[in-house]
Amino acid sequence: MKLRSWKTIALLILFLLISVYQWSLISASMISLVTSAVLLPVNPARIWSVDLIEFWVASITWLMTGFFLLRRIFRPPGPSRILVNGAAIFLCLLGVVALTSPFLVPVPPNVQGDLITTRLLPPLSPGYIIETLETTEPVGNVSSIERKRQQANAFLLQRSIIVRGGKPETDDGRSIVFLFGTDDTGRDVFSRIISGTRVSLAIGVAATVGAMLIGTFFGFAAGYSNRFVDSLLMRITDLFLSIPSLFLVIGIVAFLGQSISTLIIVLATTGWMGIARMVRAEVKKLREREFVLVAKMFNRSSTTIILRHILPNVKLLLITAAVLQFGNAVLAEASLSFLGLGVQPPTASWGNMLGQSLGYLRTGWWLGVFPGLLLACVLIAAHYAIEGRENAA
Amino acid sequence: MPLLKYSVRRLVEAIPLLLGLATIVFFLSRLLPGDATTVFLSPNISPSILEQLKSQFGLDRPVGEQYIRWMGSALTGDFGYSFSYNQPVMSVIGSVFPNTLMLGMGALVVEIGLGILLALPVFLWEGKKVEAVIANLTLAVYTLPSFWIGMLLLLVFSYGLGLLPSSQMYSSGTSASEGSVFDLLKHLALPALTAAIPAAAGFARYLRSNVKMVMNQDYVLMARSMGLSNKRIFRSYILPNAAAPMVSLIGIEIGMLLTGVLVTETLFAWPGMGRLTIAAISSRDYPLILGCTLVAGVVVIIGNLLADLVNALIDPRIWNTE
Repeated sequence: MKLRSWKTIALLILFLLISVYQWSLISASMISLVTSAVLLPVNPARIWSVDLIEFWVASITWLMTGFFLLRRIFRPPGPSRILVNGAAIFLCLLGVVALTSPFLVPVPPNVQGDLITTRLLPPLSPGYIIETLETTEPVGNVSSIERKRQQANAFLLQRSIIVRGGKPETDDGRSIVFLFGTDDTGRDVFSRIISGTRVSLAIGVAATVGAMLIGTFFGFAAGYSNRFVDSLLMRITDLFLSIPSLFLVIGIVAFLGQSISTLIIVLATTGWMGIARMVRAEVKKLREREFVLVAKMFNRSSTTIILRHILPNVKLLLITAAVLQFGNAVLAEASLSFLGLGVQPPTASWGNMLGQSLGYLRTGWWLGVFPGLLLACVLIAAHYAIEGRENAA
Repeated sequence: MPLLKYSVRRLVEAIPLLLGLATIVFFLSRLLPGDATTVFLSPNISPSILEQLKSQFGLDRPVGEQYIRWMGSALTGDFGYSFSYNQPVMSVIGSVFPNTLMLGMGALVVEIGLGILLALPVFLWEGKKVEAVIANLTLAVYTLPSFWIGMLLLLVFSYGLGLLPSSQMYSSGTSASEGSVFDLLKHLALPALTAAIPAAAGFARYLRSNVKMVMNQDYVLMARSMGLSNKRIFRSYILPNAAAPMVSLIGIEIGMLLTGVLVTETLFAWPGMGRLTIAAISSRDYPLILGCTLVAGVVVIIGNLLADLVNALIDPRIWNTE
């Protein structure tokens, strides 16, 4: 048994600290997950609830994270091939943060504080929360598992939380620190940033996947087909490129209405052009190579050649393009939400937090600085992750 | 005249782009469920008046005919009436376009200046640590969201130090006619910087790699061996050769700046195209939105075209090889 990597140990300590601090929440989520899974065959319809899924996902990710950290300490891995540098590790960590965000927030992100004591508190101000849960006994004759499930779900969804600034007067409050201060309605900025991470990253990932699908398809279609189709497709690509993308996005959003799903569709349909061009150039180069000619000589179908011979060779390029596009999508989402055309309040995303902070630049600088800082870190990390990739390739 | 032939060919090539752009914008407007009458009129309006209005706006004709009519009027610069301003769309856009042009030009000047400054280290301290630090900083700044930079600039220079005004084009109480140029420049400083900083970092990155390439050319070695001063070498040998490809980048930058302007104008309450577009969206002024999108696209196409032509003037290799 050899201990290695103090960073992993530090992360494990942080993991354990949060586990202890948020024990009631984490255990309730786990109980909810397990009992729901047990009861799934009995009554599938009643178990399903959108609000609960985030807690279930968080529980699973939490367990996996703990397992991964332990394993990394006791069995240090060989040279990692996936995580080439710090920037990529940072992005992965942020992904974990996004998935487990319900456990990481000291205060649920949309809970407003007491307006007298918590409005616009500067960073590192003390505060406390009082959690109350009206216990409702399950009606009728139910099994003990069902009873446990209902209790856990009630804790997750129905507890009422009061947030106040200052030191707790009596013993019933739990002390917290408003790490990044509070906003104009007494909401904890740190919690909103953590919760906004999930929204911003989810939109970024979904939009990237969409753009990659369209872009790869166009790239292969143009690069592997005859001259006429190629020039037609490239003309379409140029056409989309000629419109300033934010104007196009704003135009479409204005017509389709503002919602998260619209945002994803719009970002996917306006972000594929660069990918298509890159893929096309690469495919055009590859189709002249000897191994493709040999495959053609052996009478392989085009599908086989594309899937078995060309696709593996553009994989690295696709990963690079995906990371680049991810950065663009996150930035585009933030810009749109900043302008009030993206994610709508009260749901927090980095962009709309920045937009809302505009009115408080004089009285609360922390409202805009911290979400922007995290956004900037993600964008910089996305670029450095690619730099590492290119050097490794 | 190969140069003339080349120019004419580039011009002709831009025409299908413009037509395609107009087509996209038209079908964008058809994505709207229903049409203008269902959005802006009361649902209780009597069917006969509705029919009359529809035929007046030409909405009862087949889509193909509407498309041709729309293209016809768009080509002559007629995008219909803005609902919220009650004026022709073109005159609304025309009244604010100079402001955006001013902001864009200011940003472009700042961008080129800053970009050259940021690319200088590669020449002065090649291979030293300072250069690497500046290169990394440039990459970091390049990725930063411009509205966040603008916010920080506002916090520091406007609210913190009180040096520069935070919004509008002129100090309150003065109008465009009586405002002094100095006052305007003071108001222009922060928005132009905000739009220019990320673009300048991109410019510097590109210029840096160009300078690196040119520095290893034989003619630079020749100049060195002739004993010319470093300053002279940079000014007369490296910069002109490294700057030629930058022209086409500037053409592309025009589009990027235009996109940046959307956010910058909102942040600094600058009365230009960006703010007009946002206002048009919040008041659901569809003809105005379409007009703004189309004008933005046209500006980008013209920018690229100009860059190509200037490039051809500077570098005869582009049109001579054909």
